[in-house]
Amino acid sequence: MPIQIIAPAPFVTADDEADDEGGVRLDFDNDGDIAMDGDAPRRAAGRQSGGIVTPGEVVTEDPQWMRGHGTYLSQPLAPGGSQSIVSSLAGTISKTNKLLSIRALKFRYVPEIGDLVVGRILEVQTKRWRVDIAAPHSATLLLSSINLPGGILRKRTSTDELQIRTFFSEGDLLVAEVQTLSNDGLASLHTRSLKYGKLRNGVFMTIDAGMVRRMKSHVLTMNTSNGGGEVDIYLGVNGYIYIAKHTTPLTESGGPEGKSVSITRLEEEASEAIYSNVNEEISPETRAEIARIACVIGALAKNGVKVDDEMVHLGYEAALEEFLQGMEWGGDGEAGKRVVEAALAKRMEG
Amino acid sequence: MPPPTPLSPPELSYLYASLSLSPPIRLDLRTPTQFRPLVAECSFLPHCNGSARVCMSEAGECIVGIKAEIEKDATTKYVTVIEREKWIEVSVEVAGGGASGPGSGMGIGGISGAGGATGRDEGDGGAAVWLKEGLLAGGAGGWSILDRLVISSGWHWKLYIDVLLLTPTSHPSPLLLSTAVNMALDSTYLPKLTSPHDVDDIPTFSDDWAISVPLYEPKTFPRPPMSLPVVAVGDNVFLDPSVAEVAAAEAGLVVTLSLSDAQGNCDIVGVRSMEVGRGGGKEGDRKGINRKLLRQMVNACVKEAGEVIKGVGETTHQQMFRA
Repeated sequence: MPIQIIAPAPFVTADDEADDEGGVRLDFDNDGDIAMDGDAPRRAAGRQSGGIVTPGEVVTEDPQWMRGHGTYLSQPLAPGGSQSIVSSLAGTISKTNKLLSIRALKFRYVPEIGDLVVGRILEVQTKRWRVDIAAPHSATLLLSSINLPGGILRKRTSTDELQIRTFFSEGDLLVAEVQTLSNDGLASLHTRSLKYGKLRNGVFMTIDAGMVRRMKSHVLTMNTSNGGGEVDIYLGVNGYIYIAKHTTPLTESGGPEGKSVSITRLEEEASEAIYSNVNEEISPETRAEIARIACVIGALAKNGVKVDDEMVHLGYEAALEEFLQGMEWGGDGEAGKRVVEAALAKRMEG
Repeated sequence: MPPPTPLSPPELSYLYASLSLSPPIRLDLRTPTQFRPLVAECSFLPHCNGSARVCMSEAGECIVGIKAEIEKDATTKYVTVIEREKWIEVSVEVAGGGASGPGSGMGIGGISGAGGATGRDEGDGGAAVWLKEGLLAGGAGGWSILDRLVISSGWHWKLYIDVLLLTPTSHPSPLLLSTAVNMALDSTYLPKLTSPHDVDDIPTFSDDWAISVPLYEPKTFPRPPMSLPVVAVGDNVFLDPSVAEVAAAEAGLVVTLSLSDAQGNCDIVGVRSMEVGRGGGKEGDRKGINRKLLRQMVNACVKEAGEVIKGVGETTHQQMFRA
């Protein structure tokens, strides 16, 4: 069967009995009295902790609650009347003591200083680039916050401004760090480390921003099977992911061959290679394993498992046990689910 | 939303190299002829004669509603071909206007000659043109859907096929639209005629939906048509290409087929070329397309289409309100 057709999930109505056992209902105050007007329509779903509300839906009219993120106070219907807390997001209600907030079901990435992000250049301006990082606003990357060829500490000149497209042009992928945030959440990036910069030798994929767990290091290097060699995985906190063939970072002074790279040598190497648009030679084995890792990460995110170092490794192991050949994965619609379940079982075992 | 950004040169060359290997490696590890799973349901709009909703991972979501109304033949004696073709009206709309408005030059799925994404089937009608094209093409032996629309002498059904794309920022694939239209047509029922066939008076119909007549009689052939996108990279041919694969492809076709018998044999009812990227090489470096590759692409579609159309048809029949 070359195609798999899935019937949509049936519409589930909220089950009242199950609701009562769930979280604490908001309609009741601590004494158990009904705090709402008797004639107000009682909508069991969406009014309790963990229930789902939609934008504009009244969460509670009880004045004892404080409004938190994702909510606003409505105008009182009558002058002097009580204000009700209304949701401004589609998401679940969470309560912290008397603070009511809504956690969105799906949200864009909110940049934070120090985050490792993967981005794509949207626009080239005179002294900066506009970069898509899946945030509400696109980020900026200043010409002065990249490694200019010929030396990290070199001053930027007007020649560099004219040659701005030789560093990054529209559509290019890069890995960067969030350097500063403006008041309105606009991020400014930098690539002033040889860990960061243009991405090549691999594939790009996206998952939801919330699905990447924050870790110590967001660049993983994995040893793959089937002769795939080493593969680098850049897990951007913003949900953009790049999986590439492992390249020896230039920062490693004193590599396996024991050759130490001096600072000046480093600069020369950086200038030659760092903004190249040409891929290295990548073997079919490596390509197959890169695709397999991409499938593992996609399956983890699809099944609601946060992606981190451990899960990627376990998922990859599970995928290897499930399918010796990478090609068999795509033909099996349930494969992703099975692999994720196997990976979770492995994690339980420890 | 920002306009779609092109892929970076290293990405394109990586894709091109992976896809032109033998055997090729698709990024989602599909085999060359494997389709991505899709979510589909039909007969869910209460006020339509037939309806369908289809979701695809990358292409987003699309709903189709088919409504029929009775109409008097424009010319009483000789019904011309042009008149008859107006019996079906297809319109494609993108929810919220979308990035690709009429005349913006961005056809749905990049089908060349199809104009803008939105619009009706007249003139520069976009996707509606090739959707209707496949419908009208009919099948072997002079079968035509228009014959099914004749009610009695002087009267016919007029079909309004309204396609609504719900995700304006996605990359709608021709497969999404044609699957949705296919399912909607397959689940379309028309009221049963109660007045005699040969009378010129206004026809009367039974209001009992339990005895309504399907537009496409089940178990008969041809079935409603379906368009399959196919691209070629190097010497390899890929069905249901992803957006990235289209960008890295050297040639692309949309082949419209209809099922002609129960064994899964298909008739080709239309072939259109599809805009593709620049094939991984430099700009203007793209290879020409030779006859062998073209044949290979169409053959791949014909070979797989039977199973696909049968699969979609089975799903439709399971979900139909009279199933």
